[in-house]
Amino acid sequence: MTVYNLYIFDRNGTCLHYSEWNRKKQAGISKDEEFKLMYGMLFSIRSFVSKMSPLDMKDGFLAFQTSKYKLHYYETPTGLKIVMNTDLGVPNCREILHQIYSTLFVEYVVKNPLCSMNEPIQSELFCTKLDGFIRSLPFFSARAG
Amino acid sequence: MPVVNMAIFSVYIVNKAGGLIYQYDSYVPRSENEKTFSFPLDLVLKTHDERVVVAFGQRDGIRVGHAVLSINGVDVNGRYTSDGKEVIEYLKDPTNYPVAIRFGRPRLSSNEKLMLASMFHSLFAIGSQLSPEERSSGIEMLETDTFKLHCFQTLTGIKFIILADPRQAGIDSLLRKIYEIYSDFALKNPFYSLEMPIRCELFDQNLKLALEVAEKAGTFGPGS
Repeated sequence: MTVYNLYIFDRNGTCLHYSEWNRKKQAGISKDEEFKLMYGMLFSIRSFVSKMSPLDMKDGFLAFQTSKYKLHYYETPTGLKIVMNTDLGVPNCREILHQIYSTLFVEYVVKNPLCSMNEPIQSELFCTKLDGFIRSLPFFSARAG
Repeated sequence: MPVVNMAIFSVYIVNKAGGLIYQYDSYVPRSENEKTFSFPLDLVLKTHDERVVVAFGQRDGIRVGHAVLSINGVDVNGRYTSDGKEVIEYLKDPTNYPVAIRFGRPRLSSNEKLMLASMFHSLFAIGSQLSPEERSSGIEMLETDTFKLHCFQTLTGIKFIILADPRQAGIDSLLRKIYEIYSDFALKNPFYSLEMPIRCELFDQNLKLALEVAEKAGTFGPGS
């Protein structure tokens, strides 16, 4: 069981942060294009889900899975989007993504007067803390090779 | 008397090019609220996608995004009532109050279903492209808090899509069963052309039967 990568987007679609741990395959396009494609896909999925849903939604889109990976999604009321790709064995991650927001993003980015909102996160402390947090997750195991 | 759990909402079949060739709504729960309002209306309405929807405001089960379905018992078609009055103008006039308005989640028109199916066809492919693992398929299951979407793509590129209650089990085998029914009653039908909309009576009948069986067995049976 493992975490492949993690993206954080703000409400305008800017990718504020990206980390990868065990990614086997790159998307075949530049990182900038990949961020835009990911954000565009999520935007479209949210719109799709709100139209298709038979009942009024509270949380909306939660996750999707393919034959090889699972994408977990969490959005704050302010439009901040946290996206985590894991392998299929991982259960619902909503709590974990919420923790990333409340204990890492709010503490090390929002409360940092030198970190400007809506720009990619420069804080090395945030990156280190996030890396440590992900590696400490019960379902994370760094694969050999 | 056992309560029948209507947990499978709809079935969509999409062809290789992304066009919708079959659609069936087995059960669509509709939450509608009719209330009497006095001037001024405490909900903000706007025109969106040819419908009058709530843009701001929430009361008594009426939420943002709900559409105006009827006024004083007269059904509303898009922005106009059945007797030709423009909804937003009508509701701006204080002399028309008190008025009974029925709100609810808007029903999808056939066009919208076509567009959404094609949209999913593309999203399915992007899910495969953005995969961090090699040789990933497209989106096979999409989860929200109100429904779960399951998708099975055959080797020939046809997608069978089922929208169901998140707790409903046995959808994977149901998808395979629908593929079987498609092979038997659509593909083997000499009057059916490949990739075209499916209009085969036996296909409809057998599909409905398979859905009923899955619903009865599903939520109480073993996991999918």
